[in-house]
Order: sequence, then C-alpha cells, then structure tokens
Amino acid sequence: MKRISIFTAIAFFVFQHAVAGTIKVVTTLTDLKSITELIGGNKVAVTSIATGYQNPHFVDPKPSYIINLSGADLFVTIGLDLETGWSPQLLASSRNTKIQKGAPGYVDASENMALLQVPTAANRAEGDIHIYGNPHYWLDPLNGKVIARNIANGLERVDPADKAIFEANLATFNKTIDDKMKDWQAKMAPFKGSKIIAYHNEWVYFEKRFGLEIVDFMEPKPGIPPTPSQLVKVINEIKSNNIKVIISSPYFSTSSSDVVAKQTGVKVVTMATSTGAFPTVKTYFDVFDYDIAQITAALK
Amino acid sequence: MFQLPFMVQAFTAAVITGILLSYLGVHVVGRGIVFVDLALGQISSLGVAFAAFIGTGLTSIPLIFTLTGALLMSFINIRDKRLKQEAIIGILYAFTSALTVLIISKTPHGDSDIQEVLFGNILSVSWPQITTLGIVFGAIMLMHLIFFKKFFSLTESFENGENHLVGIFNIWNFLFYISIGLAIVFAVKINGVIPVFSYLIIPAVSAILISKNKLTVIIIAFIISLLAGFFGLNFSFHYDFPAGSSIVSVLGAIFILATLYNILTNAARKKSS
Repeated sequence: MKRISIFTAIAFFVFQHAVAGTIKVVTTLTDLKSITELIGGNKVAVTSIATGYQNPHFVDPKPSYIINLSGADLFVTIGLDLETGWSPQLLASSRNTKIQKGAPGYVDASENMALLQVPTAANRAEGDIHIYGNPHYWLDPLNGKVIARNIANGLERVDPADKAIFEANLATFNKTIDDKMKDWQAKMAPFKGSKIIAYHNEWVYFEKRFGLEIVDFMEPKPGIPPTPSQLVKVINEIKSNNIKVIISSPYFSTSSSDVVAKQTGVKVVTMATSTGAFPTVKTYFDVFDYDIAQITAALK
Repeated sequence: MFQLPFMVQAFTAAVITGILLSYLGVHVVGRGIVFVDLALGQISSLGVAFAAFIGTGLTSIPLIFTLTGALLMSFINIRDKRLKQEAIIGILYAFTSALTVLIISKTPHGDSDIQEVLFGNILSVSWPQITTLGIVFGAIMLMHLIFFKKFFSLTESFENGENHLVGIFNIWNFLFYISIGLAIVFAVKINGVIPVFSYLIIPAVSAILISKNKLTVIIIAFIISLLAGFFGLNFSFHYDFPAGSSIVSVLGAIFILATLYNILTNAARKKSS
C-alpha cells in the first residue's frame, strides 16, 4: 500500500511538471531560473535548487533536489567554483546521464564570460580562493545577456524544433536589458566614483558596471568573518574617504557592519544578490531595480 | 522511496553507520565519555584547518590528527577521584575548537574546506564511499566480535570506577580509542557531525533505559539505529527535509519513548512491590 502511494506521489510529481511545460529545467540559482523562464517561455518548467536569500556557496541537500534532477532535461549552473560544495554531488546522485557535465543537457552559464579577478598564480594564501575568477558575475546586467545566450544554446540542443521561439525570446530579453540599462545607468550616473565598503567580495561586477569604487571589505579575506583589526581599518577608511555606505547580502550578519555604522554614521544597505532575495524581487531585472533604488537612496 | 538509487545508497550507509556506532555507543556511554565523539571530530576539523593552512594533505592530515588524538585519549588515566575523564575530554574539545578558529582566521575559505572535507551528506553518498565504509567498519566490528569479552571487561572496570586497574598503556584501551577515532572520521565524512554524535549516544542511552541485560542493550541499540535510519530517511523523503536532521529527530523521538517506558515500568514495579 505504501509502495503504491509513493509511486502515485512520484507520478503526480512528474505529471505536475509535464503539464506546465515540455522541457524540465533545474537551475542552481534563482537568477538562472528567471532567465531560463524568460528565454524558454511556455516551453519550459523550471525549478531552482537554491533560494534567492541563501548563500550560494552553501546549500543543504534535500531529497527533492535529487528527484528533480533525475527527471530534468536541462541543468543550468553558474559554474566556476560557486556551487562546488553541493551541485556536483547532487548531479552524481541523480544518475541522470542527460544532464551530466559534457552532456547536451548541461549548461555552464559562465561560458564565454569575461571574468574578473582571475588569479595569475593560484595562491590560496593570498586569498585567491576562486581559482577560476570571481563567480558572482550575474550581478552585471550585461553579463545576463551572456548567461541568456548560453541558456538559449542549451534549450536549442535539447529542443531544436523550438529554436525560433528561443531566439525571439532571447532578442526580447537582450532588448529589455539594453532599455533598462539606460535607466539604471542614468540613475547611477550622479554617484559615479562613489566609494563604498562591501561585506563580501561578490560585488566586483556590479561595481565595475556602475562606476562605484569598493575601497575595502568587511571580511579581511573572503569567507573570514570580520576581525577587530579589520573593523578598525574599515572605520579609518570610512572616515578618511567620507564613505557613506556598506553593502551587504541577506545571508550575512550585519552585526559587525552595525558596529561600524554606530561609530561612523555610515549606512548599512542589504542588497539583493539574487532573484527572490526579497518578496518584491521577482525577476532577474528586479534585482537591479531593487539594488539601484537601495544604493542611490543611501548615497544621496 | 527505495525505487530511487540515491535513497537506497543513503539507507545502506545509514545501516552500516548505525550498527557500528550504536555498538560503540554502549561502550562510550558505559565509560561516561560521551564527548569523545565531539572532541575527536573537532581534532579532525583542526587537522583540516591545518592542512588548508599549509595547502596540502587535506585527507591524510585529519586522519593522522584524529588517530593521534585517540591515542592520547587512551592514555588519560585519572587516579584523583575528584576528576572525571569527561572533564579532560571536554577541555580537549574546547582547546582544539579554539585552535581551529585561530588557524581558520588566517586561511581564506578554510571554513568551506572544513565543510567539504569533513561534513558529508548522506543523500549524496556514492557506492565507492559505502564500500570503503563497509570495509573499515566491518574490520572494526570483527575485531570487537572476536575480542568481545576483553573490550567489555575493560568498559565494566570503568563503569565500576576501577579504572586504576587498567594501567597507563593498555592495548585494549588503545584499540578501543583507535576504533572510535576511525569510526568517527569515516562516519562524519558521510553523515555529518550531529547525526554521528546521535547515532553513537542515543541508541545506547535509550537501550539502557529499556533493559538491564548487557546483550539485550546491544541488540536494542542495533534495532533503534535501524529504525531511526529507516524512519528518518522516510520522513526526509516524504516531507522533503535534510536527511541528517531527520534521522536525528527520529532518534530523539525514540529516546523520549524509551524514557517514558522507563518511567512507566519503574512506577509499575513500585506499585507491585
């Protein structure tokens, strides 16, 4: 009896997906889900493993992740070494040959990406933990176009018949990014060259695109929580550079930043790092709408 | 649930881990050294932190550290009645935790190394990992089966407070700590720290609450570990919860039931007498 109920549960699960769309896609991050939905339209049913308010470096596996992966036609990952702690293991457990690395159903969104902070000599002691370059590249909207191109390629590999639809959606996506980019650039223009402090080294792409200057990080080295000497250093930098903002992410504690804020009057802004970070951030475009609204308000 | 290969793998790993750890747990609880697991786990973390710091030996150094720690612990022999072995183990735990934090603070993403190397997830265990686990755990189990009496008379002398009879270097005490050290390193790699601690302590304590007979205690502990693996993974599967925490919750529930049983039987005995 139990056996039957489990079967029906799985069957129902699979069926639910089948009605929503023909191509089943699993992405690691919500941003990839958002972009896949925009490119795939009603041809895809997408689930994301991580939520938008979770630190993408750490995800605690649940059975449903593996079940979703075992039935997927396409798997989309940020790649580099962002998800190394969990996605390769989940992928192996799924035993789905269609979406393993190198198979047509495997999409590495970082392909042809212009990466920043690629270490010349991988020296872990210097803090170059990301040996392939900084993996937080989706925080530059123009990189979103590269991601979208990679996803479209993947969809066309598994469903060549609908190539025209995907290409048309891709063109619309790119146009939306270009249109919105004008608006975002205009909003950020008055603050060009503004010096800020970031909690973790994940804003380098955003910083370069919108002409900000990240002077220092709350973390002395990526992944190491703020130390007393680092707090003193940051406080001095804030005072000497007249810095107004510390940007942080939903999954980091703001307690250290709050200490600095009390000492200096700097504002602590929690930015959206991914789609779904906050209830209002529903799509990839919303991430930038939200972040730019937050940061311009704080810099004023 | 068992139509899916990864759940079968998880259950196999849970059974192997559960059987050995619940058996060793009877010794650990009897000797009153329940923190030995956390202390050895922490020494293993220190090993990972050290390996990440010097940039090499991520698999060998933690093992060497843990076995050395186990060896040192087997030498702990306190003659002063005011002190308990547990206190020394607690100190080791705190001391090695602090050292780990110090080393990590100078190692970029040392934290994530520790996560990756030490804390496995039972849902993504592979067959080669299960084979290794089976060989190591099988060997430990075999040794304990052959020398069952030796190990138990040793634990009983600790239970009776006769530890001064054990001697500074006792080969069986040494082998016992090596078993614990190896079991913890391999089990934590697959299950994570808290599930391993629970597998070690909860079945043994619950079984002691239920029975007074030594052999019955071991058998009940086995059964509890199997039930926890089965119902824990079922619970995780049907309601989509992280597997390790589900198993621990089921073990916790079994402990509560065992406590209730203990209270009720004691009350019944009082009434009848």
